[in-house]
This record gives sequence, C-alpha cells and structure tokens, in this order.
Amino acid sequence: MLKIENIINYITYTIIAICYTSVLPHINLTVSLICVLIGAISFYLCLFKHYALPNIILTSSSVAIIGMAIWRISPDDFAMPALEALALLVAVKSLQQKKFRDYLQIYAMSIFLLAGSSLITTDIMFLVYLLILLFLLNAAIVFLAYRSEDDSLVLDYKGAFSIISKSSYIAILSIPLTAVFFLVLPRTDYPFLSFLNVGKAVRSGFTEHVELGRVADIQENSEVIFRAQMHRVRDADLYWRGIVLDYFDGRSWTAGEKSFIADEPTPMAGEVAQTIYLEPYYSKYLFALDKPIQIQLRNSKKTDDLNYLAGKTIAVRTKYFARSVPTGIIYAITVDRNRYLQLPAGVSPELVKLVGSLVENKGRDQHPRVFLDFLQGADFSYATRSLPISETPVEDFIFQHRYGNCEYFASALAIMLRIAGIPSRLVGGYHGGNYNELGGYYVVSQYQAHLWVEAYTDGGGWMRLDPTPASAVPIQSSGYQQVMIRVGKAMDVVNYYWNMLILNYNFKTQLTMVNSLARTKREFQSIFTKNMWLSLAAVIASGCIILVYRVIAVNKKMPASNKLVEKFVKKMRKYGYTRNSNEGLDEFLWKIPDDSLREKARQFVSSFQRIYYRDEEFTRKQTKALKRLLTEL
Amino acid sequence: MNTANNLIYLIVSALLGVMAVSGVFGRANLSRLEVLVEFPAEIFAGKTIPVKVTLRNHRRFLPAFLIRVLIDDREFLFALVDTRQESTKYVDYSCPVRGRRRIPDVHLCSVFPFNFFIRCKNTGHACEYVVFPEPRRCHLADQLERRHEHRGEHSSRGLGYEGDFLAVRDYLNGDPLKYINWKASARTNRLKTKQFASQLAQPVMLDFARIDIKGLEEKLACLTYVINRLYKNNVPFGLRFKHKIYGIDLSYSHKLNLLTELGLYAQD
Repeated sequence: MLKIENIINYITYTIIAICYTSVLPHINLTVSLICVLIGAISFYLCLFKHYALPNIILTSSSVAIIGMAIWRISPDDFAMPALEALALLVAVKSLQQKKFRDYLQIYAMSIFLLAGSSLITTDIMFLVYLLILLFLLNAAIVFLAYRSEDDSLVLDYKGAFSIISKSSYIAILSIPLTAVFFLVLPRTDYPFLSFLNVGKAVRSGFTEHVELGRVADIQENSEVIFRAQMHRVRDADLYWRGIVLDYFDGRSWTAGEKSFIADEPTPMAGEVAQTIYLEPYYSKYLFALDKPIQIQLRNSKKTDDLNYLAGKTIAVRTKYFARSVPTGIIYAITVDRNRYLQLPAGVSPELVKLVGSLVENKGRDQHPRVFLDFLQGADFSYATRSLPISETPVEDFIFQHRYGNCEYFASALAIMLRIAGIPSRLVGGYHGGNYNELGGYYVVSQYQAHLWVEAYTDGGGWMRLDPTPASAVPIQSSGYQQVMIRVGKAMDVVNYYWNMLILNYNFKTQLTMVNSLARTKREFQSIFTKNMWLSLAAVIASGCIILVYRVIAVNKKMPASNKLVEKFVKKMRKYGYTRNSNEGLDEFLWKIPDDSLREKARQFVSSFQRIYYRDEEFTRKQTKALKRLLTEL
Repeated sequence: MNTANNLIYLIVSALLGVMAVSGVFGRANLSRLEVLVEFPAEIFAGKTIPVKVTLRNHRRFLPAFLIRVLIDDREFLFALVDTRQESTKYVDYSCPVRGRRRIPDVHLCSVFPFNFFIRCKNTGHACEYVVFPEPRRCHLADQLERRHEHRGEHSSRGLGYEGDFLAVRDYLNGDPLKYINWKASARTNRLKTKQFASQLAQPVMLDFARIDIKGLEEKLACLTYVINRLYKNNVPFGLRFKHKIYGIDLSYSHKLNLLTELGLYAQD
C-alpha cells in the first residue's frame, strides 16, 4: 500500500532532480554540490524521518540566498547568480513542511529553473526535460488533488498505477496542443530573458586576436560552431572564411582598420548556396565557404578583405544565407602594400637571412612555393600541446622548436612572404567539416578552427596558401567506429531540426505560415499529386474502418464463455440442430441422434462446463483448447 | 532571432496545453456516472441505519477520479472507480422524526484533475423514503403478551414443523433427518419426509381509536413497537383505523404497509 503523501514526495523529488540535471552542470560547481547535498538531505528527512526544518530557519536562509544573489549580480553577469539562487531556493524549499501551496511553489520554481536553463544552453535535451516534467507535474498535481480531498488516503499499487497511467492521458493529449500553441502564440522579436544574459564570453576555437600558442587546446573542443546546409563539395574546398588578420606585433595577429564596401553580388559560375546556422559565439564575424560572394543577414556588412560582419554580436543562434565560389583565388587589382607588408619591429636578422637564402636564384612567382616547401619539409612537425611561447615565437618556431599548430605555420609563412616583399595576410576560420547525408549539411566544430595565409601576386590577386601539414587538420573526424559516426550523425540531424524548426521559429516564419494557410487549397494542390491524394484517402478510409471495427468490437465485448457457446450453437445449427433459448447444453445434446457428433459435442460441453460452473475466468489456454474442440466438430 | 524566447514559448505552450486538456478531463470525469442511494426497508425515527451509496462508472476509457457525492448534508468521497465498475459506501444515517422524507438532488463534485476548480453536476436523482415512528415499549405490548400466554397457539394452514401431522411426501435435499418417515421409506423403498402444519398464535386485531394512550406520537410509537413484536412472535395481526382496515395477516409486506401507514399518519 502507498501513502498518498509518499507518492507525492517521490514525484516531487524526481521533478527537482530533473530540473537540477538541466541546470546544475552549467552553474558554479560549489553551488551545484550544495544544491545536491541539501536535496539529498531533504529527501532523506522527508521520506524516511518525516521531519521538516522549522520555518524560521528556512525563511532566513532563503532571504540570505536572495541577498547573496543580489550582491553578486553585476551588469554583465545577471543570469548565473539568479539561476544559482533559484536552484538553492528550490533545495531550501524542499526542506519545509509542505502543504498544497508549497508543493506548487516548488513546481513553479522548477519550471523557472528549466526556463532559466535556456539562457545557458539551447540544447535539444531541453525538450526531453520538458516532456518528462510535463508528465511528472501532471501526476504530482493530480495526486495533490487527491491529498487535498483526503490527506490520509492510502492507495494500493494498482490504484496508484491506474491514476498515474490514466491521468497521463492529459499530458499525452496536451502534446499536440502544445505544438499548436507554440505555432500560434504571438511572437515578438524582443528576447524576454536576454537582459539576464549580457556579454557572456565563451571559449571558441575562433578568435579575432591570435596570440601564438595561447589557445592551444582548441583542437580538443568538439562543440559545434555552425552547420551549413548545402550540397557536398570537395574536401579540399572546405575552407570557411571568417576573419582576415593583417597586423602582426611579433607575438600576436590582429585585424587592422576595416573598410566596408557595398555588397553587390554578381551571379558566378559554380556557385555554392549555403544556409548557415551559426551557434552563439559572441563575435561579429560571419562564416561562409571561401570565397564568399554574398551573405544575406539583416544589417550585416562586407569588408574590402572579404569579411562579413553581423550588425551585432552573435549572442543567439543565427541563421543566414551565403553564396560562395569554392576557390582559393580572390581577384584584386590593387593592394595596400603598407598594410600587407607590415613587419613587427625587431625581426631577427637570421630570419631575414634565411628568407634571402631560400629565394636566392628563384623567380618572384616561385617564392611562395619555396616557403611552402620549406615549412612543409621533414624538419617541421605539427603539434597542439606544449607549444613554444616566447617573445619571438615565429623565430623560435623556425629555428629551434620546429613544431607547432596552424598559428605557427601560418604566421611563419606570412612573415617570410612579407620579408620577401610579397603582401600577405592571415585568414582565420574553419577548415573541414563532417557532411551529414541524412540532413544534407556540414557540421563544423570548434576543433576545426584553422588559420591559413593569403599571398598577393601581381596580376593574380590573392592566393590561398596553407602551410600547415595536411594530415594535421582533421577534415573528417576519424578514429571513431563507423557505427558511432552514423549514430552521431543521426543524433545531429535531430539537433539540426530542433534548431531549424523550434529555435529559429519566429514572427517571420509565423507570418509565412499564416499566409500559406490562407492559400491552403493551392498549396495542397501543388504539394499533393493525384497519387498522394489517393493514398491519403486510403489512409483515412482505413483509419475509419479500424475505428468503426473497434467501436463495434468493444460494444460486442462479451465474456469468452458466451462467445464459445455462441460458436458452438452456430456450428450445430449447420448440422441442422437448433438450440432453444431456454435449453441447457446437456439437454440440447440429447436431441442429437448422430452418435459420433454427439460424442464430440459432449466433449466440448463437458470441458466447457468444467470451467464455467467453477465460476472461473476462461484463460487464454483454455479458450484455445475449447476452440480446437469446436473445429473438430 | 529569439532562440531563448522559443524555449519559453515551448514551456508556456505546454502549460496552456495541459490546462486546456485538464479542463476537458475535468468535465469528462463527471459524465456518465450513476449514483444509487439505497435505504433499508425499515427506517425508524431516531434509530441509526446504514445507507448504501453506490457510484457506478459507465465510461469505457476513463476511470472516475475523486468523485464527491453530496446527498443532503452528507458527503461521500469515491477516490477511484474503474471503468465499467462500481464502488459502494455505507454511511450511518438517522432521522429524528417520522414521515415522508425526500432527497431532492444528488450532486457530484470533483476537483479532478488539478484542484484548481471544483466542478459540480446535479444528477437530478430524487429519492424518497418513509421514516416509521420510533418504536417504544408500552403497556399495550405487555397486555398482548399476557393474552398470548393465556390463549395459546393453534395450527395454521401453512406448512411448518411444530403443528399437526399433515402428510408424507418424497424426500427433498435439505430436509432435516429427524423428519424422515422411516416406516414409509422402508415400505416404498424411497426416502419419505413427514409434513406438519405450522403453529400460529391467536390473531390480534388492533383498533387505533380504542387504544388508550395519550398523545398521538406516543400512540404511534407504541403501535410500532407492538407490530414489530407481533411479527417477531409469529402472531398474525390487523389494524383498524377510522376509515380503513388492514385485515389479519402475517406477511412482511403487511407489516411494512402498516408501519408506513403509521409513519405517514396525519401527515399527508
């Protein structure tokens, strides 16, 4: 037997656990641990000791928590203290002696926690938590209604299960309604909770400021930076252009003053259209396949070195369209030589000497090739760990360590080109991507962040040079088993649709939907071919038949015994023996003069009566045996 | 783009969805339910009686959750009645005065599913019953008792075990062994049973007008007691009112008729 109070408590603690799972991994570790600890203590006290802490202690600690949160809140960090305080308040609240109202408060706070988790992550797990919460809250409040009617109520397992299962229909039926409400609720472009989330910095593989050796562990960050819906292109063309860096101070690269130009795209042969879903990464640069021709995003700007900047920092997942021509050459007639030949003060004479010796007796157009061959020679190796950090990282890389990541290779090449008098610049972005055939898009992760070089040749324009050893940059993820990759890809498709359908649903999409609904008839005619109409009709018709059949079947639901007798009587009628309505089965048997038939009929009747007159339910096995006897008749 | 908004929209939509569906469930929970209120055949004023309240769920899919049945000022809570099932509750009930009583309406109320609203429904199930006068011992009962002892019993036409020997018949399952007529059985080679007439006391005819008790209620109480007593003692009885006579009889329905008459006396 189950006490109603205990059922409610079990469900309530599960609800708290679910909300904690959604939030705790993202907030301060100490706070998380405190929450879990208090939650566990509260669970133990409540269910095993039936003890609640005095209200005065709980109220004062709640006030303290809120005070702490207010004290910790700063203009650029609002969300975290608020969420942490909420998580703590839930834990403290659970220690209380709970009435109907208190349970509802806990549930409300749990929902707020889940809503708050959307500030930190917009992962699809949110939907999973929401669904679980929907069912649990539904069950919890139904049991609370029971408790409010009779708090000493005790239910058996069957009754409790029946209440849970039957009341869960509410949650199940509310799912389609949820979808409808989600589609029709009036939208606003103003993000409700964005005020909580100001200037949050995230670690990204991509940086606007490249300091050699400082962001060494990007290669281990497997978070997705963007997905690009497009057809598949050659792996060698998978350079996603982000930012051009042209100023080197000896240790780090930065982008100089950018000048914006008008975006006047002209249609070009071999264009690749992309729809890009960029994850929030708190920078303004937009990515597209190199070389981009056009990016369509409101308020975005194009720079003279083919960079695109969003109107504001990308703090939410952003969707935009891009057109590119996959090529490593960017035509340019003129070049700002001062800008692209800039060298840091104090370039070592050894480096100048090295460059001189490398290009000796070589034509000017061969210089880039010579430097590339030098850096891709056997002396240099690729590494992502224990990178040389010093005052003169490029020189140290070339003359001493001879290992490094793309930052070192690209910097070395750019500097060598500049020493040789060839204008050059660094391009930051991503290289590679995993194509998802199911969804038809590339997934580009942080670890695919990359730097390459563009060198200007007179008459030829800017030419892409990538000195980093080819094997070093993982174009396609490898090392996993094939199956795992497939599972991962399938999971990513779910994620992709979650982003596309749920997260990016906005007023514009809503408007489009309303318009398309207004044109339903025409739309339907264009969408559905004649065959599809037929199959739709067939589906509806079969649905109706099943429904009618079910209704009839349920109406005709009679005990197995009656069905068997009915079958028996029907069979005997075929032999010409009709049983009167007031006639017993034994009596009926006497009317059959045919000995063999009567004997068979008697077998059925006696087996039937042996079960029937014991007032037993007919088991499946017994019914089967009796049916077999009937067929033998 | 307002991605975080959409997750909040999702939560709000889910809550709205649940609220909407819960409203439908709340209504459905009160539909196709039947309440049966059963009183015992004999209800005496001032005595506690058990009343049987049955809630029958005719629905096919949805059990009846948390139904509160309101009858008069009484409430019965049915926590769960499964589909196509019924559940029964008994409650002690007492009526202080005799007469016809009527329960005008039976209400069904429920807070299901979320205890945010109470929904009620009037089943329109009117229910009538008669409360008999409270039985009270009186001198008339003693007089009759004495008379009964004095005048003795006589055999009736009915069959029984105490009266005169009437006949022999075939043995039937369940006949007591001591009534088997062994001689006849031996003669016929089949088991035979002896049959006797039942023993009855001398009938009593009560005359309402001639009963010398002050106060109408006192008189009714006394008569109720006497009738109960006579019926229990197997004494046939009748009752004469000014304009109505109930002849001598000893059936249960006769007793109920008389008690109903007494219960409603000078009321309708």
